[in-house]
Amino acid sequence: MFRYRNALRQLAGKLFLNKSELDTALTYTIATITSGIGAIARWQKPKQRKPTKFQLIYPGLACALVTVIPNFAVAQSSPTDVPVIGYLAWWPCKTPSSMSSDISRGLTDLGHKPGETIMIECRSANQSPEGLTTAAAELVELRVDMIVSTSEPAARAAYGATKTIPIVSIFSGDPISAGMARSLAQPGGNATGVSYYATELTGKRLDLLRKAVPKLSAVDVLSNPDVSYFPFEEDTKRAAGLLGIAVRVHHVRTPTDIDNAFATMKAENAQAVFVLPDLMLAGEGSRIAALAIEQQLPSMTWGSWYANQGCLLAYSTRYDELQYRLGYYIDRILKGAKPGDLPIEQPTQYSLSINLKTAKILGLKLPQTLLLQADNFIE
Amino acid sequence: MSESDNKDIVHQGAAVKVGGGRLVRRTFIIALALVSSGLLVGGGVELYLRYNESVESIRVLQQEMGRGAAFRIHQYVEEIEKTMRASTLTPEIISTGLSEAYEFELIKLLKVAPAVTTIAVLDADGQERFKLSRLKMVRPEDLEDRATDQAFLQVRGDRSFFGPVYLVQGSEPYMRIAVPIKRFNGVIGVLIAEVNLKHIWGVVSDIHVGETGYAYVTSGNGDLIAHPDIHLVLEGRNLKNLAQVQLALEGAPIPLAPQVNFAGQKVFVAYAPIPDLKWVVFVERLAVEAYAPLYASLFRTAGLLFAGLGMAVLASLLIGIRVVRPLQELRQGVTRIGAGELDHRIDIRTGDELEALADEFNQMTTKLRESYASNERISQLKRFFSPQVAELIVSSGEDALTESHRQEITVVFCDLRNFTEFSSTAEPEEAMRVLQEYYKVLGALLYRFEATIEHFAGDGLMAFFNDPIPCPDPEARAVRMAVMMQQDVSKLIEQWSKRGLNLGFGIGISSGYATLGHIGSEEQFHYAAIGSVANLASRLCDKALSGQTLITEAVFAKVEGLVEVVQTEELSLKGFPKPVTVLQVAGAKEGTSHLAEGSR
Repeated sequence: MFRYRNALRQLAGKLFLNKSELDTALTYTIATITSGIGAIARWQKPKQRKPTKFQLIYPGLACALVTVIPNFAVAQSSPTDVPVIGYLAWWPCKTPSSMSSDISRGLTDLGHKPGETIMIECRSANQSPEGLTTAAAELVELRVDMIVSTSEPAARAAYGATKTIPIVSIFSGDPISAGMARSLAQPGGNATGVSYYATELTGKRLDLLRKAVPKLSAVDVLSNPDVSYFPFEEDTKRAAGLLGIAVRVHHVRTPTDIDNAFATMKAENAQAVFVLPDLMLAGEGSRIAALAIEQQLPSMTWGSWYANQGCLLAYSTRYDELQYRLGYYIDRILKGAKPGDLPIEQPTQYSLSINLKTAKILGLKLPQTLLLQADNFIE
Repeated sequence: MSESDNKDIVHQGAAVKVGGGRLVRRTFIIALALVSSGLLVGGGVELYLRYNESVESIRVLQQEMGRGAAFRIHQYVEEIEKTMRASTLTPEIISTGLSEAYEFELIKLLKVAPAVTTIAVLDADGQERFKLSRLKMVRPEDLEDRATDQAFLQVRGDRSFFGPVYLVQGSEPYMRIAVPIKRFNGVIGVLIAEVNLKHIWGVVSDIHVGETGYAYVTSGNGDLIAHPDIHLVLEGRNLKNLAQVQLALEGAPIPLAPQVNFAGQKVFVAYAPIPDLKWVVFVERLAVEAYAPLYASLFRTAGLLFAGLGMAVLASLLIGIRVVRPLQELRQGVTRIGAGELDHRIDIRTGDELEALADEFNQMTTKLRESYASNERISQLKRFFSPQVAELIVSSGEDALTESHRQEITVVFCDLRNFTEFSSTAEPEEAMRVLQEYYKVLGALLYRFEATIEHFAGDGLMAFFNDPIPCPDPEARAVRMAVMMQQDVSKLIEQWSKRGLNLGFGIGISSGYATLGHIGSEEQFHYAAIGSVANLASRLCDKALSGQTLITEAVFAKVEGLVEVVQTEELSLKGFPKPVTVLQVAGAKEGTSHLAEGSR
């Protein structure tokens, strides 16, 4: 019957009836028909004075339908039925309802249909830290059911905007010190997700860079002071200290700053470039690669895309796998789990990318121990 | 059968017609009880067997799944161990022992064993010689002395070490696996790997039991190592408080009944231990799902049962109707027959005992009708014959009555003297009373001597012997009866004279051939004797004075020894050209009355 209701509703839409009017009309039609049946039943037995059970049932049924159906219809077509996910992006949204393809894949694999069973509201920071705050506030205003992001700065912006709407994100490293989680096993707040080990791998990256450049005595570091709340710089300095390598930090806020930093490096006779995690820097892989090759500098970065764009080395967890994993968290929360009860997972898969083309240009002969460890070669 | 009984039957017959009656109900209930109890017992047995079968198959299935899961998990860990052992078998080890070149092996190991996050090589003294981590940089200064590490201490000879499960950062489950590094026959070092057990998650997630079934692994102290919901593992759960985990850790069998899982759901549990690791693999399946085939079977059986019951109701009704309808017919028929409709025939064609019964009834009715008809006949015959004779006639067929025939008979004719005068003057009631008394006496004697009554009119009566039932001594009987009549009527005459009535009684007896036959219609007939013998008897009666019995010579010839004859004379009688020799009977000779008695 309700399938026909929908068809009728469409028909009535053409007759310029609104939904509630239509529901009322339908309900009364049904009620009329049912009581009509009752009346016919009664009319066929005119001699019987006492109404039979059935004759009493029909008007009763009609009354019940009048009461129940409008409520049911409203409940059925309520917009709260389809959950809305706010996607907090750093880069511009491709469409107002776009999301990271890896997250979508994760959701699809769990039986969801983004755009159908889940609505996506994409809000972008347009590559500015302030933009993150604005976009997060916008999503909170939209009363989305969940905020999803793929970076800790975005998660922090969202956490700053709401303490109630669940936040699912990739964390750079330590969400506990950021105040977003009480512990990895039980975050306890409204934020959860997976850890990228952005800072935990700093020492390992330096170690690998040293393997590539055995006589390395100093490294030039690109760091964005906008994310100085992360311990990236300190961790780098400490690890470099342990390895006996000098550190020169270049603060870069904008792509232009990168150009300037490389100019300084040239003047200083730099030996290698070490790129620290940052969203702005994430988008400047090609620029950094080009500048590094120009100055014959080996580079160590924190994401495989850097190597694809021409940087020599990249060592990190599998970013695509982590995004895919977010789908699981979204699914769990949609099914009623509290984000505070979902432990923050640590990565298990790591990948070393080596751009052999760049190595050739730089005239580097990479040791076998390093080549053996690599998962990706760009030739 | 009394009137009221009759009414009752008719009433009950009507009730049977309308409501079906008790018999329908009883037949219905018996049939229903038989069929449905059969169904119920069958269904019950089916359910019981299905239940046992189902529970047994659940147990077997889950145990198999548990063993399979345990095997795969053990295999997974063993695979890591084997990979580690394989990496100790290198040319470098054989040629130079733990040299720098061995570092390659560690890099290779990390590539092929993704679960291993850190790998270290210890020499025979427990000093770390090489170490590689996916996460951390390792400088020569970072190499430690691990001589007291259990992983180092417990690896001896060929035995590998599987350490207890521990949590990194309070959430990620890890364990250490150590294998010996051997050169020739001696152990020159130990390879220790830190293994992230989260990878077992993949193995556990791939284990599916039905729709809702899942497998999980706990360590020897109940810590959750692997579960499809990895967050339970990351939360660092300990499941020791679950009854099934407790039992499994003790090595005790888990009862077949559903257990409660950590989420409070009822589940069927099976477990399989991995003794090498001191782990236990559990396979749980929601009881709801496991029971589903059982429920389905239950519903099927119940459905069949209800369908069967419905059919039983129908069949019982049919049986009831089939049995009772002919019975109703029978009953109505019998009621009608009872009410006198002897022509009614009960028409039942069921081909069974009921039809036979109806046939018997019909036969009975036929017999009844025949018997009824003969009774009618007898009662008619009684008008002319004594009852014995009448019955004799009826039972021996009625030829004697329907066909005219000649027979030698002895005719007795008698009447009252002066009756005509008396009746013309007396009150009719008085005349009737006299006749009643008179015929009462005569009737008794006629009956006693089995005489055939030809007719009686007013005070006159004609009877004869030897027809239709022949008798050996018709003349003797006639005379004897006449003697008795004279005696008895003389007493009546005495009484009558006391009442002032002057009446007398005379008898004439003759014997000879006469034509006998049936005169009149089927219903109203007259058995008549025609011939001069009847006229002669009549004339003799006319001639007889009161108290006299006149007989012919022919009669006397047959009764000479029995009676005494007083007077012999010749009389000329009207209608007889010659004078007839007539004798008067004086009385019975000595002993004749006895004879007369004896003839009966």
